[in-house]
Amino acid sequence: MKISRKSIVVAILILVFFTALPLASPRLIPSEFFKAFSMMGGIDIMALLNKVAVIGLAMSVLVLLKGSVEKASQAGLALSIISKLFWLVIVLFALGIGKIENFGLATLGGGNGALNVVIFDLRLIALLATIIVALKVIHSILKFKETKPETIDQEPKPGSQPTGEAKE
Amino acid sequence: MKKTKALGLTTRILTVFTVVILVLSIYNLFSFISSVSSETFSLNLNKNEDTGDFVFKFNANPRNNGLLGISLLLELTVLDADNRIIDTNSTYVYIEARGSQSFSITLTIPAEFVPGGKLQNAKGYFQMKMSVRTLGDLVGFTQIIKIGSGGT
Repeated sequence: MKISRKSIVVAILILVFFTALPLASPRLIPSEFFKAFSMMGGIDIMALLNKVAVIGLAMSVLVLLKGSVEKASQAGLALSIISKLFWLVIVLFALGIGKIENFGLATLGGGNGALNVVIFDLRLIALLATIIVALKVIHSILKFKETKPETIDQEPKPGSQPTGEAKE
Repeated sequence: MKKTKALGLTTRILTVFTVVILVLSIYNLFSFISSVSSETFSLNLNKNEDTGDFVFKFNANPRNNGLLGISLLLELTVLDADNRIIDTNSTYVYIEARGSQSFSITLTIPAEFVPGGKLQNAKGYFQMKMSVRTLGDLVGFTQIIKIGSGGT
């Protein structure tokens, strides 16, 4: 299995920024900050950072896998679809501040019976992102179907002579 | 091939459109928040000497410095110690881009909820729900603040 150099570099960068840094941040930033922010924001910062680290790990694995397969192959198509769906998960994760299931509704505050709650409603963006990903998945499938017969046509048939005609 | 290209182009246009909408909405909402100052809201408290009721008058004159119109829903509620509503009032205003809109909300606390006629002795809660929306009410945020009184 040969992995492209570009994919390795991108995967390492993703691992550093999205997995290593979030995991190391509790040691780099004072714990009081985490406690204060968790109380004020009603968000478990540690759990959020762990989720980001898992996302980073999954993303770097996806990049490595994508770099190791042929784009025109079935595995390439499957990985392309998975990575597009994964991007949707990341967008929903960001819009919902860690809560994918909220589909663009982010709630800040409210922890420990707090009396100050802010709810951001970005469901329109979440809906548009879902439509975009669905269209991108369809686009990938159509592109795969179009390139597949071309690659078969380009294969020389036994006993046939190359004509040198320009491909339409 | 044409179908694939058209789909690819549509996806790109939709992506740009989504990013523009997101940036514009967030800019608009934060422009509105940043324009709020101590002069935007004021609260007057008066006592009706005949009935002993307390009357809260909440005055607002918010300004929208954003690029799009904003709709604002403000709901004020006074609750007793058991979270039962004593009085509630709300208003909905639409503020055009670079415009302002003044409004006021009045709440009445009956004398029976104020022991000894002193408001500081009353036990209960004051709740404010503010919903700010833009882009045809499709994007926005809601803030709910509940403050307890220091009654004994």
